Amino acid sequence: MWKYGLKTKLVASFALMSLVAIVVAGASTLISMRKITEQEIQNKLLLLADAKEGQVFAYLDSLEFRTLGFSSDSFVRDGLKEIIDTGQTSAASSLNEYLINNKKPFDESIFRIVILDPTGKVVASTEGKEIGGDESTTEQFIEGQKKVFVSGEFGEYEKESPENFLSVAAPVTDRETGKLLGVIINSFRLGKLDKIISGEFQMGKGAISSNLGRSETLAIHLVDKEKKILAHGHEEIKHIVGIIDTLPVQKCLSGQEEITGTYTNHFGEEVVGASMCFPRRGWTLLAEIDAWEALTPVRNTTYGLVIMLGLVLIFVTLDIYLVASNIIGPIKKLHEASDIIARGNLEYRVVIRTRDEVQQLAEAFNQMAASLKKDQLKLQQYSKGLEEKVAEKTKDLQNKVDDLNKAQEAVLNVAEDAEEARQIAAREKDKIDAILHSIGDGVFVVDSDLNIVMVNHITEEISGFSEEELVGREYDSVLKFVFEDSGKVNDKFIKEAISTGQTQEMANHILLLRKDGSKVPVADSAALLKDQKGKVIGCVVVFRDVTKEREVDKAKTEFVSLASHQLRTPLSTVNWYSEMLLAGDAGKLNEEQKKYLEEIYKGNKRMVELVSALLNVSRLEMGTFSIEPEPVNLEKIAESVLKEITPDVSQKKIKLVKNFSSDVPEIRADRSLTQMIFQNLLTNAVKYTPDGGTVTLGVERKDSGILIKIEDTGYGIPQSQQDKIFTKFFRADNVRQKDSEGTGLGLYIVKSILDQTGGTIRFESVENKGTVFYVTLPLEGMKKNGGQKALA
Amino acid sequence: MGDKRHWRSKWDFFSVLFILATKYMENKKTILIVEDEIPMLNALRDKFTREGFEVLEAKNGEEGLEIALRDHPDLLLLDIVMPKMDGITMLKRIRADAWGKDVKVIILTNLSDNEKTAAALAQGSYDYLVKSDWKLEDVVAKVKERLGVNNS
Repeated sequence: MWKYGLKTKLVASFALMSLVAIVVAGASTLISMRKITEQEIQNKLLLLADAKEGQVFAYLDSLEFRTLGFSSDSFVRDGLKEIIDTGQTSAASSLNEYLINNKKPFDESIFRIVILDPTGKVVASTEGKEIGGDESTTEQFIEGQKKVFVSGEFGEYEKESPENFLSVAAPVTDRETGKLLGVIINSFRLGKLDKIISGEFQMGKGAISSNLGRSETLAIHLVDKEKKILAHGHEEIKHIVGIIDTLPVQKCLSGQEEITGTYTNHFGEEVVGASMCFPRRGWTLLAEIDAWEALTPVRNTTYGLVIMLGLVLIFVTLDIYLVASNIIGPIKKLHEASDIIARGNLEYRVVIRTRDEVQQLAEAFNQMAASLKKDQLKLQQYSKGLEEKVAEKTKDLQNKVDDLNKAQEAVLNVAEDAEEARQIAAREKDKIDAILHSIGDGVFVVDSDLNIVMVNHITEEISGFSEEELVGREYDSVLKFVFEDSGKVNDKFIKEAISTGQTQEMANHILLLRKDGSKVPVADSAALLKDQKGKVIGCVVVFRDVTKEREVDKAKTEFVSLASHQLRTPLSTVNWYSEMLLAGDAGKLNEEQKKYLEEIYKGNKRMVELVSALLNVSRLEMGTFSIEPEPVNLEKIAESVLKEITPDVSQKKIKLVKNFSSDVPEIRADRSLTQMIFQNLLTNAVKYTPDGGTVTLGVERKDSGILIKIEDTGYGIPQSQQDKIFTKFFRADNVRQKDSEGTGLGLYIVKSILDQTGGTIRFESVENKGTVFYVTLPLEGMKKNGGQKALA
Repeated sequence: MGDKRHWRSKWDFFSVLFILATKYMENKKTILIVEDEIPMLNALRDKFTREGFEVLEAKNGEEGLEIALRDHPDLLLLDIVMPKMDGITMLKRIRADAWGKDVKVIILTNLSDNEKTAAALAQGSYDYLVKSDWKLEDVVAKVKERLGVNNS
């Protein structure tokens, strides 16, 4: 979370600081140390060089002394004089011998003594071959004439390779006169000088070596004016190098400037050195130490410093780390503490014992926490007080809210109910719509004001009007139902339904006027729509186009009529011819002829009856017979029927009893149907009663309707066959033989008529005792229907 | 009216004269029987002739109309189901005639049909008799009754 923690910062900055400090200090130390060291070395070298110079001078002095000694040797002087005066070789050779034997061995570093005459010719030499040589041009001769003169030379002496050696020349003078007799030159090996320079000489003499003598790279050498090593501290070096053309040498030779400093030696190495110049001779004395070695202390110090730096760094870092921890720890503690307190634990106190500002801070922190706690307590108390107040108020509010909620709930409930109701209604409506639109008949609904509220598409089809043209209009302004026969508008049936509260069926023979003016026969019914309370809110009318039905019915009934007509035609022919024959129109008949003819006539009559009965049955079954109720007097009809059957009654000597109740009212009934009922039942009663029996006819009024009772004392109906008595063509076994007339259709017809007019029929019968038929007609009479043909 | 007179043969003419003469002399009533069923027609004719009527015959409505308008019978016995022109139509046409609108008509048919009954009666026929329900002698009685002739 924190990019650079305090610790890191501290440590880093301290480390950096220490680093910088140490580096700076170290560097400056080292630099000054280096300088000092260099200075020291240089001083030492200088001293050394100086000392060496002294030594060299001393040595040179010794050489000069030696040579002077030689030059002042009386034998030498006399000898030389002799040589010069006489020029005898013997003098020379004796001088030579003297030199060789007496002088040369004086000093073991002398390897050659040469005496020159004033012309410079070598008159005597320790090396024989040199005699006679001309050395007049040499420096030694020139300078030696004046005074003792030392010079470095390069040549071969004992060793095979040419080396440097020293020549010391001194004038030889006459003992008496002091006149220059010649020059004596001593050639000294440089061995001693080497030793002097290297310090061996001193050591040999018992001197304590200088501490610089321990230096490995210390190199002291003497360089002549040709920049060649004259003498060197290290024997080996002398032979290796060529020209020493280094800075001090140059300086000495050019300006006799003695220098101390760091420069490059003849090996190309860096050295610290001091130089001494011998201007007269052009020699340079160099004391050099390898700079690397010279600066070894500096180097060591550097290493030491670096190590120390490292250590210091480590320790500083550790220390700072610890210190930082020391500081950061408490701070962290404080941080944690503030977290804990922030989370709500105001009891927490932070403990820091660092005895510094952090501790102060911690204490302040704790105080703050304590005061926070106090405040919190105060707050709690206060808030408790507030809470109580608030709770009180809240309760009030809550009560109010509860009340409101209840009210809202109530409203919502109502709304929900309403919504539910609406949804139910919508669903119902959808259902109804679906049903209505799938009904194959025309359906339309009017409200209590007789305005059309909905139609289905069949209505549209049959009427020719579109939905838009129908809905909303008063129904009889668009949908005009007219009576077929009168052409008058039938506007009553819906109004009647609404006012009476009962479902109405429209009368028969109703036509609907289509939009285009054409008429279509319809059959319909109007049913009421009631709301939940039972109040009439409208009317549902269902109607259908009965054109086809009618046509079919028409065709059927016409067929039946035609069929019966066709059947009757030959029958009536036979009828009349038989009649004429029986009447004797074609001549008198004998008994037998008469009998046969009668049978023919009777059989024919039966067939005629059968045809009529069949015609009625088919009309009954098709339901196409008409029922036209009118007020009828049952007694009168019964009487007329009785009159008709009088012949049979009297022939069989049946006793007729009539019981007409006085309170039998006129009822609305179809005349011919009522007649048929009486006819069938009465003829049956007479037919199926043996001669001398009794037939009783009773008509009375009951609560359930008009009761017609026809009783006979006849053959009765066998128990086992009583359930078949109303079926078509049924003749009970017990009467079949006795009476072969009869169609077997009478009771079926009577029952069918009664079924379709709202009446009932039942009977009681005991075989061989008699039968009673009970017919009830409803008090409200027969229902009118729309049949097309009357039963005949 | 008397415009269309189809004299099929001299014999028709003479028979008509004879009939008219005898009718005039005897005050015989003439009836026109219009019936397409020949046996029936014969039976009726024989019976009525025996009963002392002048009988005119027609086999269909067209003939019937023609003869009626030509010969002006006293009564018409009309069948309904006939080819060429049915009884009701013929009756309508008769009633459109000045003479015809008053002539006595009895429908004699085997068609027991409310509609036809109503139609026939509307055209002013006295009766609607279903043949198979009526004895011949009762038919004769009815005719006599309508014509105001005593039973002989």
